[in-house]
Amino acid sequence: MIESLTHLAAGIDAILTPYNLAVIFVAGMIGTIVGALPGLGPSSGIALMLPLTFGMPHVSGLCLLTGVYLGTMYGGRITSILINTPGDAPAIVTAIEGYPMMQQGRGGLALGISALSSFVGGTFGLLVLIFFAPVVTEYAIYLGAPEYFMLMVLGLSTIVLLAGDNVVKALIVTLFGALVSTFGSDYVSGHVRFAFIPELIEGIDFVAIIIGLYGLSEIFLNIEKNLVMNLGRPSLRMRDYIPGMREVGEASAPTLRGSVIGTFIGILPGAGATVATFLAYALERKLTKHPEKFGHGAIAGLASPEATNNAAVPGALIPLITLGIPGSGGTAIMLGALIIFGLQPGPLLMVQSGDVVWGMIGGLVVGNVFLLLSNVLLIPLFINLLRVIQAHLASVVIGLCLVGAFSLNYSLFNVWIALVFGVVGYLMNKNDYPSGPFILAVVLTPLAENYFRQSIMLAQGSWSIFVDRPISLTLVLLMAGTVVVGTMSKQGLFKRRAKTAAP
Amino acid sequence: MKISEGILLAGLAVFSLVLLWGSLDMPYSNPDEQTFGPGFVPLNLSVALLGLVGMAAFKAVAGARRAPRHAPPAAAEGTAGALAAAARTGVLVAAMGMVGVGILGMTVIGVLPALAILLAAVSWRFAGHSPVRSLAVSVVTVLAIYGIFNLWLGIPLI
Repeated sequence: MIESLTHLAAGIDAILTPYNLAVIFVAGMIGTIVGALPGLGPSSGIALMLPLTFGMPHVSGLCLLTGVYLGTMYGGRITSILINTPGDAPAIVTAIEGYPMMQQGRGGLALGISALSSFVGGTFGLLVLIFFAPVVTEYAIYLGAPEYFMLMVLGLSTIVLLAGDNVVKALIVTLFGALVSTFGSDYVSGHVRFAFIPELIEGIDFVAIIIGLYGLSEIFLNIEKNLVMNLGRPSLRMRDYIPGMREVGEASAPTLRGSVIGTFIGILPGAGATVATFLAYALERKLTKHPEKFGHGAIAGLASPEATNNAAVPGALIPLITLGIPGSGGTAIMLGALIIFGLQPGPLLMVQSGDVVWGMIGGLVVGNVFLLLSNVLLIPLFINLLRVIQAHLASVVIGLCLVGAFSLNYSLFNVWIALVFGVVGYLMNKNDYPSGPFILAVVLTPLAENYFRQSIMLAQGSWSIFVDRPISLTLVLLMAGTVVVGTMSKQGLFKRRAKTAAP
Repeated sequence: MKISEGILLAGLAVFSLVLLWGSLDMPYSNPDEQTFGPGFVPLNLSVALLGLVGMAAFKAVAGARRAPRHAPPAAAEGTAGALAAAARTGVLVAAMGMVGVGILGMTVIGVLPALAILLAAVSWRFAGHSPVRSLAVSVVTVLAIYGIFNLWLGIPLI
């Protein structure tokens, strides 16, 4: 531990130059703006900034990329909360609670709580990265295809908790989402499925789905109801945007729980951050004494996933730094950056290039503080900007959504996908079909299928592999427990409601 | 069952039937590698989805049949309410259609020009603004989008 602190001190010393501090600050701001734009997420932000790092000192270049990565996680919540348009999968859960808070006139509070939770989550993840990275990685390598499959299924089992009152509707949308994800090339065999048109060979981009399902569908609903937002006049009173002690108290325990979940699940390659946010949300929904508040602006439901998706950033860096294995799309691009810089990703990276790596970690620590301060101070700007354009929100949101979908791969096909899912999202919303299970299935099913088929191949056709391995068996029991407890608590709730309603 | 739910369930039924049909041509299992093939997941899930859609439709129809048969005759408000709902649906369908036409226009005249026309039309017809104001909103929005996406991020929109 002392050794880690010494290295960290040396790393922070290396980045405490005016140039590096300016790079970290600018990277965070750019990441925040990129993360806020629909269709652009961490991977896009890092890829856009990568050419700027050529010719930079290695520490500065890595600080730029990690600053953008962290900034996009802060930025993703802005459009989720303000206009119900999450820019990427980890920000979806933020929209579920943050947008209703916006509609209730508590958008500034939602942004303030989410900024604080993001900071705490990022700090916790960084502490684990600094002090426990090699230890955590030592255990993480014991996870194989069966364990990853069970983890994905555990994530899908939280559908029961996200289902609301109608489990059949939740199951319908889950299966729908799973089928949507089967379009395109199969990971295991390379067989192309359901490519009715050439554009479907690469499957359906889930970011285009999110843009339509959340952004466009909300606009269609508002047009149908002839809803006009009334957020009041612009105001610069910081009291309206800084959470009070009561709200901070309500958010503190969920934030800490979300930080733990985000860090340790973020370590796992694949959909770490997305699974983590849904698991964190499901856990808060299970633990709360006021489940009726969820879906209508519950602070716990906002704080925990926000802490989770920021804690997942250092979490995803742990396998990259210690094993050379990227934990997410953004870290995959950073792996490329490490190779371009002439560094050797892998177990020896911290030995051979420790000064560079610790400088990057120091940059993350400083960047996390910068981002908290800038995001809190910028909240009045975001809210007042929304107040200025509130009468024209439909046009602005439609413009951002369509261009965001186009920017995914410069193709109008994704714009059509966004429109189709905008219509689907409208129909789902109108008839109380939950969108959370749908998008969870879209993201997790390809990974679950891939790991499942690999596991069966490893076991030479036997299904017992899922219960023969202790970690996998533990996850099976956890999943069964989640489903059973979730179903029983729903039945208990229904019986209590029936008793209350009976004359 | 609401008409919108009927449309959603019908759409899901057609979707799952199409995928079920398509997955019949894919290998269900891969004996050489002792695992399941690419047809395993879509075949099973599409059958399950069809079953659930059927169950949901059956429950909705059964629920409607159990509803009280002695409902009072429709009042004048009920007729007016139905007409208002139909008008709102018409506005909504027009909005969706307008966005669709806008996207079609992007293939002909480019993303930004078509977007500018679409945003002006949405602002004028659905937000109730005057044509001049709608045009101003559209121009400002498109210029901001051009500055951020095209000039700064280098995404070709023209």
